[in-house]
Amino acid sequence: MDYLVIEGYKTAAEEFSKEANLDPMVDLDSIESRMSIREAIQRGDVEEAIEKVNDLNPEILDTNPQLYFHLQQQRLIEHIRHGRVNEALHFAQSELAPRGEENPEFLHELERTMALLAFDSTPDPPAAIAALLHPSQRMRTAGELNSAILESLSQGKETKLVGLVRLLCWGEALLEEKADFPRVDFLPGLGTGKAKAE
Amino acid sequence: MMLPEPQSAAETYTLERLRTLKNALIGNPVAKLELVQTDPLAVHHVVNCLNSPSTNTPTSEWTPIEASHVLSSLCFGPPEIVRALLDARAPEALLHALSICAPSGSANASVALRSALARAFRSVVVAIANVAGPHNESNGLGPFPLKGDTVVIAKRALELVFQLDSLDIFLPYLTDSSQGISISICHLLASSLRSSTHRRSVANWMSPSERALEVKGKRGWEKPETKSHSSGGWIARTMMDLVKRDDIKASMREAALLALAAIAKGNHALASSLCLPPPEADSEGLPFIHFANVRLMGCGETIPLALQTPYAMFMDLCKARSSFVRLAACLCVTNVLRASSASPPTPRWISEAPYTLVGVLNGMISNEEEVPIVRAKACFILYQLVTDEKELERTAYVSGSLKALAALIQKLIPPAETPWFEDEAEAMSLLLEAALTATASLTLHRDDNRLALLQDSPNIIPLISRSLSHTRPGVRYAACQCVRALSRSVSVLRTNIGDSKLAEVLFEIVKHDGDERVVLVALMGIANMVNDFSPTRKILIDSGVVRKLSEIIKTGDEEMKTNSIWALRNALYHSTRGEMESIMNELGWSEFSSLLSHPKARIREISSAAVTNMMARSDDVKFVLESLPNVLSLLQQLVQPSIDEAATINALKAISNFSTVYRDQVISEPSLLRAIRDSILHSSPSVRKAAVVCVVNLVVGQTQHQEIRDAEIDVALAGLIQSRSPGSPLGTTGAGGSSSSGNNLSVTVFNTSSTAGVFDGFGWENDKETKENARTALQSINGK
Repeated sequence: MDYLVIEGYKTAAEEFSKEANLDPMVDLDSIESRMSIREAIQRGDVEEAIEKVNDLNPEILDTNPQLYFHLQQQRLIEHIRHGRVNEALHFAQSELAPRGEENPEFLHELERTMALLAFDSTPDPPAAIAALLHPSQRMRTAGELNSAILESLSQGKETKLVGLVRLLCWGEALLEEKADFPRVDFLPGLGTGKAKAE
Repeated sequence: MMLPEPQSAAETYTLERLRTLKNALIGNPVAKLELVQTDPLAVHHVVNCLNSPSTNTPTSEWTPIEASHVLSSLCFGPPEIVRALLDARAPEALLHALSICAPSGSANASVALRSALARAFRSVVVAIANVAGPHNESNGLGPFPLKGDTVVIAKRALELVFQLDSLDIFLPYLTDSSQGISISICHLLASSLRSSTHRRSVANWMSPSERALEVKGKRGWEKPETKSHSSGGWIARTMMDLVKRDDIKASMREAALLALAAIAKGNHALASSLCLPPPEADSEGLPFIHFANVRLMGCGETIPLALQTPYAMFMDLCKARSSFVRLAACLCVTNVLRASSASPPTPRWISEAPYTLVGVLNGMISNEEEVPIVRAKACFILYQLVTDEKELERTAYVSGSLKALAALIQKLIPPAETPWFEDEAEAMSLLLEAALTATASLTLHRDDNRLALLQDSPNIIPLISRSLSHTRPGVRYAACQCVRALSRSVSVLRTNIGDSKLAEVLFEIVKHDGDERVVLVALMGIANMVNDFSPTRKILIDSGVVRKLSEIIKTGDEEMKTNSIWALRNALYHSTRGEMESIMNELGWSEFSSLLSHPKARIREISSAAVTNMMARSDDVKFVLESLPNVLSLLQQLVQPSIDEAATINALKAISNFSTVYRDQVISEPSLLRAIRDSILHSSPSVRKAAVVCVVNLVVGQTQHQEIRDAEIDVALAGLIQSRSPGSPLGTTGAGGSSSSGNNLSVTVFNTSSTAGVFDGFGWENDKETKENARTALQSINGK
């Protein structure tokens, strides 16, 4: 249930709740809000995501300057991605530069993002700069925002399942030094959808 | 997002405009300041939307909801915005809206509306409290406080918030069905209760129905005053009930603990009730619950919170899984322990609590996996626990706090050859500030702690010195506090500090730092470093510190002036004639003269001590008289009943020194002699002691005492020497006392400190030295 709620599978969570007779402990409608926010970022509509998160909880962005900066940074990246250079420059000047003045720790990221403009017409920009245009950058921003929303709802930022797997791997690594034992192999399960223990 | 265009006063804000405004403001402090500066009526318009005509339909609730969100967001902006909120009477409007939406109110408001209003009210009140002050110790130094009439208006607004009618409106929201609303009100209490008056008002609050019951039991004409119950009042009981529940979120438990910590601070009655022993204590006084915990622990079970005493529950929650709940519980225990001051013999569970508490805090401070804000808050709680408590400072040292803090400071500060990280995250800077603050508090009062710190962490002085150049004022402030604390040790001054460049760095701060609060603490360190035994004295004097201190004395505000005079006073102690002349040439004798008659007691006290220091040698007395011909009359003004004790004592010492060279001048002033006589009869033993020593210097080895007798000083001395039995009549010289004139002395006994003066029935003078000196003086006067 924890995995389904945090990862945003609302319908699955509802059905699971009914079948297993488990109380979801959270408002399942909030899952839908979170998912629509995440989807907005994943398709590049950061402004809509900001409006929606402000509707959901107006304090999240006011109390998390780093998150707000990353969202604004993503908006700048979207301007650059679509070739809107003038808007990008104006946006950086009016919205991002003040954030850099308020919090000097953001300056490095700001410089990296502005460097995109310099390498705009270059076929092979440096990897650190090119990564900003990669879809994973959107995923990263969406994940950060999702975590903040979950935290504001007093839910875990990470699924317990992931934590358990991490603990399992750590425990196996420690035990491996002392003894031979059958390890749990996740690889077949990741490829075929089935987990199989050796 | 751009701010919407300003509107005229006639228009009202539509829902769409409020939403646009909200999205433009959230996360953007510049936009918030720009709004209030470019459109002075904006906040008024938003506030007017709170109480829209119809708020009892789902759609019409959105306007006040969005207006609440806008107000909340504005509160996260610069402190200057608070003035706009105050001018628009935001607190009053929010209170009105809350009163309508309350369960007993006229509107059937939704959770969304109540939640938005409660959150906005919390944000506004906390923002006002941050302006009104004093600042919240858990958050570090914070931004530079506003000055001027905004502070006055903020204080007035805060009084309104914590008056009975207002409490009747928002405190019942603590038991709202929505946890989010309760959390908002808890955080309001936790963050905005800054004065003992407000804390008492909240702690003693009773609901109107409870007050009605109280009044009913009386004769009817008494005021329905709030009264604290033995269990701590409605608020404490409600908070305890919230904390004990199993079905609440960690954030709710944290908020309730923080609110409880806030109202317990300085509240002896409440703190004592929270420390009450459980009914079934065993023979050693150990609480039953703790024993039960030991028995059950082996089975993997724990006692439910609902069954524990408050104290046991707090200690349990100090080890909760959630870091923020642990912090809140630690703060609660800290405030309860400091306020309870249990009378001996202290129950074992109370005396052992600091060790447990410090252990938990040390764990959080040392845990590198923990987020910086948690570690910083742990440091600030440690600071609040031990501040000005010598025994607790030692407890913390013994528990390893100084080692943990020193290790943390070491990790946070880059090597000497590396400049400060320009892009250092604010959380890391706050953590450094917190670690330095806690270190300073642990070493302020105990020399053993200072020496232990330097022994365990030999490089701590260079680290502190590095911190003095940090970009964040809070870090520099905390580093200055460390310097001040360490420089109180003579051996540390002579060795570690003397060998370092700390004095020069501190002086640079005094000269150039832009934050007055940092300069203030740096002056305290300078005051320690100019003492005669310190190797840094010469360095500072040669660097021109006297000129800077004189400048501050002439132009600075009261606090800066006080600390600067204090430094000069120390510099004048055992100074050479050349140093003295140099110092007074910079300050100016006329300026010094005005300090002796300054309206502020503390300035008079320190200045009079400076005069005493200057006249320690006979040659210097002449120098002072030549430079300040009216010094005697200035000192006489300080030997008056209306003057504070410390200044009077210093003035008497100065007169005593003066009279060793210029006795004739002293005894030729009848009013001065009468003032000395009155000081012999002062209620303070210290004043009497100084006055008697002064008389000894005036009379011993002399033959002419008529002026002394005319002032009836001998009568006063005689009265001082003789003991009085309880119940002796007032206004006489005492049993057996007689003056040379044969008249009974009608003395004016003034009492500047308490109602228990010399006529308290417990005897006259208990100090043997004073009595002996009085006898010596009397014998000289009587020619024996």
